[in-house]
Amino acid sequence: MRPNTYTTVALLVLGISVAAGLYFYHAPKVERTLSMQPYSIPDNCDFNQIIKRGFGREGGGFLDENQCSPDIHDLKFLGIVINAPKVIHFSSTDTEDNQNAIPISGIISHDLGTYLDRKSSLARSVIIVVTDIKANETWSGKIPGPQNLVPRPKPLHGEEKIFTLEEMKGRIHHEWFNPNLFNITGMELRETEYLVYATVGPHKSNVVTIKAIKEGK
Amino acid sequence: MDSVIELPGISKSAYSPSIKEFGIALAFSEKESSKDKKIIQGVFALPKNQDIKVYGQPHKSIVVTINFDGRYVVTKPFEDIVVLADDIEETKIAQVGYFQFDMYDYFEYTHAGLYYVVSSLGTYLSNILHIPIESKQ
Repeated sequence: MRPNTYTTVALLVLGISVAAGLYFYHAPKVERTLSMQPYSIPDNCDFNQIIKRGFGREGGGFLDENQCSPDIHDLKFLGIVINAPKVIHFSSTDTEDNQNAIPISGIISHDLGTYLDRKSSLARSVIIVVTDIKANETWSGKIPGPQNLVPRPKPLHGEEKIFTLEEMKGRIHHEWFNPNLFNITGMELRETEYLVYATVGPHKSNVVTIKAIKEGK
Repeated sequence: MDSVIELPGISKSAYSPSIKEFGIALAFSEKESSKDKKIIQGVFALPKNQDIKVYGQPHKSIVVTINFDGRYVVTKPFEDIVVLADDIEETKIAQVGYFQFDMYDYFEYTHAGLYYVVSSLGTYLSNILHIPIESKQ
């Protein structure tokens, strides 16, 4: 390349860098906590949308992804990530009509080649633990299993292939969960702070804090 | 270990794990364990100048979760234990405490496999122990 070609290329690179810098400086702020973590957690998502949708039988919730679900960026990441509202307001300790719902949005990432006993879905095997830090009282629960399960149909031809753990190794599987913490753990609702985490087998989650404020005192 | 250890206990022992950062850590004490008991040793180090959401005596707030084969238990082994001032080591920046318990006191053996144990204290979660349990037959 001739010297003026170098200059042109250098100016072009400089221009692109400045343009990119200006774009990211003025771009709308991402509402997820970006960090060196292999995952991000939405900061300001609307948990009311999850509450409005309801939680179904025994507060188990839907096993799907929503705006409050944590994102896993690192596809090799194995574990559980949970999100919960930082503050909840309640007027009574009544459990009817999801009045005092405490939604937890979570994701579990698991290597299917690692043994983990599961009677139904992976998400339903996750144990959620909640502690009232002021009263030092702890409750726990799991998402209830599905009702009226129909046995898997047999294949029309031949035998169903059952994969060994060795054959499944390296197959990373994600599942989401959105239970009502209040229902599945049987916790008492008080004006306090709760610490929540989830675990199952070799996996554990982050710890989230929920402040509960009683209204109309 | 030759002497009889009190379980659950909150003393430092020859098998207590060490801790280099703030938090809580567990270790499976194979030497102290047998077919009928599975001893887990633990340690915590809590910073003095941070709100790590622990009120009162730290040992009483330790939560242990054990799970295997679809079953689980969540327990507080030290909730009712008497904690004396010298059961906690005070450094300039941290409170350090030790503890031990027998997993079988809280989680019944059913069959052989890999049992998982994790503990929490305030905003800290420990490592997860993978304890291989042999058949009792």
